[in-house]
Amino acid sequence: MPVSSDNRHFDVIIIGGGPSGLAASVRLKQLGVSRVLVVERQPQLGGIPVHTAHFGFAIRHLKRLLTGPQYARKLAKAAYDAGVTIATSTTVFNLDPLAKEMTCVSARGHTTYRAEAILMATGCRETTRSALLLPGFRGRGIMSTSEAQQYIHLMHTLPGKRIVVFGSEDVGLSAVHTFGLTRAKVVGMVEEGPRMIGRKVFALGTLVPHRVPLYTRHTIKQILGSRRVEGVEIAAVDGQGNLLPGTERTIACDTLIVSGKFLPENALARSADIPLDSYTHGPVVDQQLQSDIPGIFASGNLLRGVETADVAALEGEWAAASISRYLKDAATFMGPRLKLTPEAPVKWVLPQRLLPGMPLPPPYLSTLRVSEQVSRSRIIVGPEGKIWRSRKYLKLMPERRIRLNLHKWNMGANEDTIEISLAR
Amino acid sequence: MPKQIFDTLVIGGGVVGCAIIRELSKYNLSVALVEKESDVGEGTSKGNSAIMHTGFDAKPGSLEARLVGSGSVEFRTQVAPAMNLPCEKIGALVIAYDDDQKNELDQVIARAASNGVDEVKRVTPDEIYALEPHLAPGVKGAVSVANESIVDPFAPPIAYASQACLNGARLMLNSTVTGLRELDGECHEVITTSGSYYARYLINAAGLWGDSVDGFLAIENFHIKPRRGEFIIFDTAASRLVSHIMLQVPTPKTKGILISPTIFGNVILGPTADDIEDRGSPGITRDGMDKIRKLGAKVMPELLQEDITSTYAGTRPATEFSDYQITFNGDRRYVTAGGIRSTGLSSALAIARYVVEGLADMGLSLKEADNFKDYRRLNSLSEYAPRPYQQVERIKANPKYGQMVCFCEMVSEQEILDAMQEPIGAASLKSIRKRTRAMMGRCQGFNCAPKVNGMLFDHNGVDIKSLVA
Repeated sequence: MPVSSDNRHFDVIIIGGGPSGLAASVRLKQLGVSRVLVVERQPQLGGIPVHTAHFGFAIRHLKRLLTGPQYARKLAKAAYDAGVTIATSTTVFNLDPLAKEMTCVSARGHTTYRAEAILMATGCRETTRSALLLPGFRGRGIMSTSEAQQYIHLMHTLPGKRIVVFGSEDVGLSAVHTFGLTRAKVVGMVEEGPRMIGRKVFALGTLVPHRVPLYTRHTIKQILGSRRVEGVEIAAVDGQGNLLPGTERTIACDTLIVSGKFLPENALARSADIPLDSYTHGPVVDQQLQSDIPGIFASGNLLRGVETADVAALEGEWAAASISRYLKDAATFMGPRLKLTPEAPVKWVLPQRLLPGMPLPPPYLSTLRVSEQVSRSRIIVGPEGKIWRSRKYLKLMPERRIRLNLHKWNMGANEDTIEISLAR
Repeated sequence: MPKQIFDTLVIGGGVVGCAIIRELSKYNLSVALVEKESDVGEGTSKGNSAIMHTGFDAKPGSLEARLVGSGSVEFRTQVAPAMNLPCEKIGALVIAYDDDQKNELDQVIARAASNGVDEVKRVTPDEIYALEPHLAPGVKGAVSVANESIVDPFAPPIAYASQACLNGARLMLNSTVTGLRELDGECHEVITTSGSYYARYLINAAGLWGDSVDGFLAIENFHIKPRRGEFIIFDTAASRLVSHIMLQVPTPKTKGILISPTIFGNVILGPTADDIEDRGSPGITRDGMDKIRKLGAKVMPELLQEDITSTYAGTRPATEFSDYQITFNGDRRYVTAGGIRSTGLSSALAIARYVVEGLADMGLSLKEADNFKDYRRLNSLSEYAPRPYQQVERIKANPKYGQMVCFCEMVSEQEILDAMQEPIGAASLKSIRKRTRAMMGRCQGFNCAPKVNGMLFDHNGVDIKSLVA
């Protein structure tokens, strides 16, 4: 395949111009890295916050409360002001992680860029109705939260009038909030688990004032419709996800929002053979956010599905600090790394590797998630038969950030695998 | 008296109906087609396994065997290259998993020979694992059929109807037939939701509604017994696991499961076969998904670990008969092409010729048109050939071919504009999807569906609310 000969060389290329990539680019410039390129496939910088037009953004990152679009604009402006080279409407379709070379397509044709280090910050997406194998009607009226918000905020079009939201994570509450600002009515939220996953404080501003019934321990048995969605048939489920016969009921609606269950946007990493973690589905990284391939870093929601935008931005800044050290002395980023592995009900742990002797990450970065609610238990860290740290928790909730506090670990030497488990 | 009387009118714009109007438009005839949906190639035609069958396993001597055999050869060797329709000859393996199935393999070869399908041979287990290393252990043997091919299932009906339209055929979409009347023994009135049309010869290619259309003329050829097939489409990353169309030796107990690469770079697993009542828009079911995942896991456990991109279900117009039901009613100048169950994509071109020859026997005078215009699709959706975004020259000539809209499937803005400007222009998201692959990928429109809707709005000037809400 012919590739135009427009070769360009940067110190760092960042793939993805969302909160994490933009924050990283600004920090790199602040740290004195001169040639930084951000490649963004959308025409506009900012990522998901661009169309999340409600408050709740930027608190931990900029110490102020902004809406999604305000935050996106601030991040983009900061990158332009810092002198970052920016290529929007540019899609990377080929990445050679060993040569640190990538080929992009845009209206200008093909361009090949090369760098000393690459940061992947490609974000995440909601799991689709197809991937969830939701049965029944296919066609108009079924969409993700993100799609609905794009219609409402970017195109000023209401995609439906009677809405059912499947999934009760924060993003599902965000969908309720978005529709609550319109003429549409959210007539139900369906959650397979025993209780709402999203934060109660968000429910106070969404489910409660809009009087949205929450159906926990329920799933969608079937989507009904012919030309467009006409309703959903829901049914109660037991703990294993089996339908309980006789509990079916039908909710009339014209739109079903299939929300949450975020997945890392890992297609490019995958096609480039960058090792992925089977628990997070994002690249395997160490506490420097370096992947298993030297000089290839990853940050933000590519790492593990969803975190808030400000945490993704802070991770970008941490990755930038690592990369600037890497550019000065790549050799210190080599060497044997400890492997952290989760044991159920720990769903995943991040980072998955520790490089001894390197700086420990800030607390928001070393975290774990549990797959179900766990009460009165201990998180135990250590190689087989040893305990490096043990901490008691009254209650651990799914989809919540649980800190690992690496600096409190009483680490020994000469180990290679460390289990992270729960015990009563 | 009606103003315009068409020489021939086809009811149903599936792959069979579209192939028939294409064939008719080669002659000096006025030709029309009515279709109830807003696009051609809907219904049964869009829910198949996307395979161009050779007909190796059809019942010897049946009409289906004959038409699949000649139709697929014509498609593969002439029509697909001429019209730029994706078709890759990757070959099929008919695999035996137990001794019963192994004993049937000679039968499979004999049947293929009597159907005139060549390049069919026995394959040993060692050879099979060399070809398909990810298959579960325990394969006893197989037959390979070299000419079995994968195709873009959406392109043929669109291309056939487009060529017919270029050559003067009229296409009436959004027109559901609600009645038929014979006027003074000379012509038929076709009453539809968009008005009445008149034609001397009628061809019923109504697929799932074939018996209802017959019923309007009090003709009873067959009864449709709809059969649903459900499929799972895996992410392109799964394509490393599969390189051939893999079938199972059919036994009286089971028809087995199909695993195949798709021309779009995914892997398909399916179908189920369940007799159902409802002919309307079919959906997937919990039981169906469980069943194909279980069957698939036996054949290739690794595949089931891969990400699922999409699922779909198709409904096949089975009848009480095992063969195609193509009947010619000379007295009433009426042809029914029915019971084309799951091989219509492969046989459509041959069915069209068969129907037109029958029409000639019924007295329709066929005079070849002087300048039958060629039609070639602008963009091929095949992953086996360079896509527009990979062609630097095309981007240079038109930068919009470099402007990506759908990132999962790498579909450019210009391809979406092209789809709206085709002879049968796309006017809805689902029509764009069929013509471009946009929204067909792993995010299913998370990123691009609103943008594509905006483009439809800009292009057609219709209220965006009518597209979305």
